[in-house]
Amino acid sequence: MRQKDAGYFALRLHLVGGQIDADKMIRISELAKKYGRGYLHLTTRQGVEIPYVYIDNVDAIKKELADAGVETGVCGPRVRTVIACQGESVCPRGMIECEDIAEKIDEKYYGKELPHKFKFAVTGCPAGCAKPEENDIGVQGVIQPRYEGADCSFCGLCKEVCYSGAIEITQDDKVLCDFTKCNNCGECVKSCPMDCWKPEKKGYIVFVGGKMGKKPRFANQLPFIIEDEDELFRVFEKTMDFFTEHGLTRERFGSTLDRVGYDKLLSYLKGGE
Amino acid sequence: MSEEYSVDKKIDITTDVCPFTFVKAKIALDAIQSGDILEITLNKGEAMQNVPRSIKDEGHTILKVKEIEEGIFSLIVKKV
Repeated sequence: MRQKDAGYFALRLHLVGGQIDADKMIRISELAKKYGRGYLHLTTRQGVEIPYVYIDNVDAIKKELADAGVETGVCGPRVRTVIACQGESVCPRGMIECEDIAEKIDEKYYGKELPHKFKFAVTGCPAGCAKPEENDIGVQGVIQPRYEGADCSFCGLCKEVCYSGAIEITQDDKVLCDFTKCNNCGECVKSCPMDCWKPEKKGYIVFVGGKMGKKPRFANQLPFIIEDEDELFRVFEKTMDFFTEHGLTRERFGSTLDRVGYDKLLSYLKGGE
Repeated sequence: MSEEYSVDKKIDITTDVCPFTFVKAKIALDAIQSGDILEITLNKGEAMQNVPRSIKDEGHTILKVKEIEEGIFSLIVKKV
């Protein structure tokens, strides 16, 4: 990124989901001392930039970064840095392997040319720490629960942990769930001491067309749970194909959906034209 | 409720905040023997959202959960 100061660049590095090898970070720090002003900037999208690299040094630092296995990032009208929370492997609430999904998205689509910048976010559960609703495509891990009461002790824990107030326990020991309120966060499944709440479906919900900036737009949530990873990537690809076909130059995807119609995307995803 | 179980240790974490709620529960569990019963008194909300699930994740058995007064719960846990 070109800086205000003539001739200087904040050199953006290519990271995925804010994860970086500790040794690479040490090397990046050394190069920030050598070519920059001895500090790093942590970007708003989990990236790292080396500010104050003079234009004459850009090729040299890029070479030294490449030698350390660090690539530089992209800007402009293409798929940008994929952000992610730490997901199932680290977070007790996580229901999908966010880092793994983010890396696959990055591997397949990073830098892909589209009508405007295009941002992916991957988050492990409906707490949504990676803010999937603010991105062009957001992925969220979900569990659709099912109740099997044979071993139920009617302790009421599921009712207490349910963020949506969907679960009710009656005086005569019946556990009722209003699935129209359920946000698929999986807390009942994770908390139940007797394992009476089972995952009926475990997978992904996809949000499309979100953005912040000058005209924020909250994403549309695709009205289905995707259980299969291949199907998830098929939805990504069809969504980007739709954007390539209908998006105007420098029009964000959410604006395309508003102009062309979100319903058109839905029917296109279902196999229509 | 504790009369139903022979409780070996009791802790009250109603004045603690996350993550010390679970930390205190874990320390209490570490101090008892396998098969012993711990009774934890805790608040509705944050503590109830996190402590029982963390206890379950560590392999202990939650035998009973009961609201003993408005907004305060008792958890009976058997150490794994």
